[in-house]
Amino acid sequence: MEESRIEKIIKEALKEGADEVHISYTESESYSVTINIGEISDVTWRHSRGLELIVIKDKRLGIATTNELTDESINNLIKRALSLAKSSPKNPWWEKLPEPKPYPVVSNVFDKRIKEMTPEEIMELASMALNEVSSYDRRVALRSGVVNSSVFRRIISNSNGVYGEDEGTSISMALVAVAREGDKVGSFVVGHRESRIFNIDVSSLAKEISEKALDSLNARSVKSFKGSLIMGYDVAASFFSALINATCGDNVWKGRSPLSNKIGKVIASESLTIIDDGVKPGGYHTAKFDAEGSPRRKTIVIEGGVLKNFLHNTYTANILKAEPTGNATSLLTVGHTNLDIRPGDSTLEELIESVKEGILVERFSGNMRFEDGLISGVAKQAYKIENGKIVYPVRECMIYGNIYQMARQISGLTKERRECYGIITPIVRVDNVTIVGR
Amino acid sequence: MSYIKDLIEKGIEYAIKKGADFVEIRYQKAQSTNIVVRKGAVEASSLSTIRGIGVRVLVNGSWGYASLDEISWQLLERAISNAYRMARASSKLRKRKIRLAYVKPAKDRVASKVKIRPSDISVEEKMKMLLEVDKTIREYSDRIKDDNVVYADSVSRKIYMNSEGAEIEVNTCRVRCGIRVTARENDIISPAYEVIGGTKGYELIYDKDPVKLGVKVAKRAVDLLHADVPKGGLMTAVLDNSILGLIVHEAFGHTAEADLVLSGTILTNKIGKKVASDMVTIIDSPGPEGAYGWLPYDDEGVKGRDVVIVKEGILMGYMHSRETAFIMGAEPTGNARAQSYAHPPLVRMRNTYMAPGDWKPDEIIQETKEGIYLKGGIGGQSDTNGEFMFSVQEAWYIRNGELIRPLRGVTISGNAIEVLKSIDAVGNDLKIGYPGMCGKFQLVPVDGGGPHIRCKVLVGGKR
Repeated sequence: MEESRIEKIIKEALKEGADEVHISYTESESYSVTINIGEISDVTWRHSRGLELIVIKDKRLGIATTNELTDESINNLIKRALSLAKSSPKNPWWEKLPEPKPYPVVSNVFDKRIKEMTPEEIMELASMALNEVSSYDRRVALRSGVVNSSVFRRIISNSNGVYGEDEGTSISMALVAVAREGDKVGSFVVGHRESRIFNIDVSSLAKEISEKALDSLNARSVKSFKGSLIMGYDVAASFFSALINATCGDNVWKGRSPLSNKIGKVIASESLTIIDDGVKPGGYHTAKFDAEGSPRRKTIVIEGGVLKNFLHNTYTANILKAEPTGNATSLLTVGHTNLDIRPGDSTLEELIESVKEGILVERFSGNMRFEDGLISGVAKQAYKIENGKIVYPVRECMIYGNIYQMARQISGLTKERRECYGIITPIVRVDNVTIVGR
Repeated sequence: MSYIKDLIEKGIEYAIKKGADFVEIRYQKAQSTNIVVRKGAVEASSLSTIRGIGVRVLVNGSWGYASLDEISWQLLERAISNAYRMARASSKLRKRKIRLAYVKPAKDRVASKVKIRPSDISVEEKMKMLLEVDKTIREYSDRIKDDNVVYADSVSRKIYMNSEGAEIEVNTCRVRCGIRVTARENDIISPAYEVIGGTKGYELIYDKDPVKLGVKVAKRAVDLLHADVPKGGLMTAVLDNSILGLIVHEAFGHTAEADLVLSGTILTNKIGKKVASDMVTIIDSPGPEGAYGWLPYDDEGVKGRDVVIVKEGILMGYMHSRETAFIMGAEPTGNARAQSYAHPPLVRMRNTYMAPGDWKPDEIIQETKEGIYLKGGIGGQSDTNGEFMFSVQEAWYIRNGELIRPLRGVTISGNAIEVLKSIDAVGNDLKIGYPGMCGKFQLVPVDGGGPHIRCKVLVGGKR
């Protein structure tokens, strides 16, 4: 798909009666290697393209998508989008599509080495993961896994003259390990690494999940208690993602967020600073522009515990009289990009040392609901802490809490951070959390 | 369609000539409508069309898979060459050679039963219906702060052909409507959710009346605002059809998928052993007709049959693909499913349910001295060791056979096998009709359910 063809589609849709037109086109080529039953199982090559056309007629939106790109099917697409728009009720809040603005320069999001990777090289990575895990301990096996490499190109354009073209690469590895000993089956352990450039440390991932899988074999149940919760990287990432969802313009505007009227107020421990960074070098979500074609940028959301800004697309920014922040996930919806959670000054050992009774949770499975802050779910791969020491791995126990209360009760952050699908987070300690055991 | 079939045939010939031991090619074209209505406005609506071809080749006991979304011989040839090359490379790294259990190649053409084609109903009418549901919900109470009414229909045509001579065409039409309501009073938030769906046409909407359903969901969300939060602990619980269905699928069913069994689940090496109470029989079925997970043939061209996973408490068998069936010396069951032409098939469930017993559901509650009645699930998770955690929509304490106090924010957890073993009453009210999209790397439509039952389960709540 070239610029001239996109222009032609926009012109055609305007001619057919649209007031405004938005086009989003993506094409990608990817390899994925899956691991199943302890071996490489499927090796897949995928070539895909998709065209999304949105037309606006009299404040009515119509969306049509297709992966058939013949002239005939595109003409059809225009007709379908327009007929859908005409059938839709008016959206009284709709103002207009974004205007062109200069795009930032982003770095470390495209790597020729990934683009040129052969399926043999990707299989080699999967094979390494299998070997590393099986040589770590015979009781541990990879239950499943997937290694993925992809290269993509994206174009966003609209009838106001926005035109953006972006390309990127990514590579990721996700592994699920499980340990068995006789009749005992441990809990499954999930580990992952992902990167925009070719940088995947298979050994450290294999070691990490093997250790956790073995630990889960000897996990014990705990009695209910109230104490400190130390959230490992993945758990902290989910926690902050849920918290930041409450700062997304669409949730703020629709009254779904308890943070709606909290700008300038203290909403978290003063140790907490969170930046939505859509242009972070090499970030998982880094791009020149968002889903509506507005430039990505950096936005301080929480600084020293104080709520500073909400995240917006053009639609919610117009409604709430704010600036778009490059956070469109569609013309109407908003989402965070990379989150930079500023580090603390402790080591994990220091966080543990001062805990009388508590739990370190490496995986959490359940709900973290931003609407009312409810956290309820099961702690997986958890460790009991007593008198400043880790004493034993814990079998499933339930955690109850509230996101907003917990944000205020943060009592420690580590220096070291890790990136989990675009969320760069330290390990976080929160006090006074309810843990329900058997 | 003959152009497509000719292209596929040419592709199969080409792959075999190249040296593949087996090749299968799947074509799919799907058209779908999605509409989301929220608080009086259409929040999103789209019409989409996808089509493409997926090629899977077996070379020296290894798979290679390639997919393309441009229907041309040039690209198909490139896809086949790629798949062949990947399979060969993979075979150098694998120890066990993949072999497939024998299946008689089928030649068939099947279509799901549709009374009213969704394409015969205008988008306006679909939107009108959803806006009506939404309006009714919001007018129910001023404490309703948010709602979300989602409609989706899809019509898909799949052609499956392989080098053994199978040639199957399956046409499927699915319709689904989900209603989510959030009520709020001060700091208390109360969510409620219902979904209807089936491998049916638009008649589903006329038969099930989403407006009425919307009122039911709205009432539930509002009523629960004043419910208590339960005390935690191990309790005798009566489970309704829906939450039982959730446990049967999520916490138990996945552990009986042969690919997972082979890498170790709680059901590995347990065939012939007792895994549930004598009253428990669990089945995964390609039917019944109209169920959301209806699947006459799977994505390996295998005709679907019932898998009796548990019979009267004893583990009888697993769900298989041709590959896992060969490894375990079993018959393929028709459980190999792919999300689309772009995905290779995996062992997946279809419609999974517990068979009915002979208790009347009311009697189960009447005969319970002290316990809790749990109705409807709303999210959760489970693990290969059978451990699960689900959020429950509605709950009541039971005292001396009566429901005495509604509860909200209830979660249950436990181990599927322990829970199934603790079952001491099974109702006669089998209900299948809890459509969902199951995600195990790929999304596929599934259904399930069961009767009312009584068991012991760990109930969570605030202390």
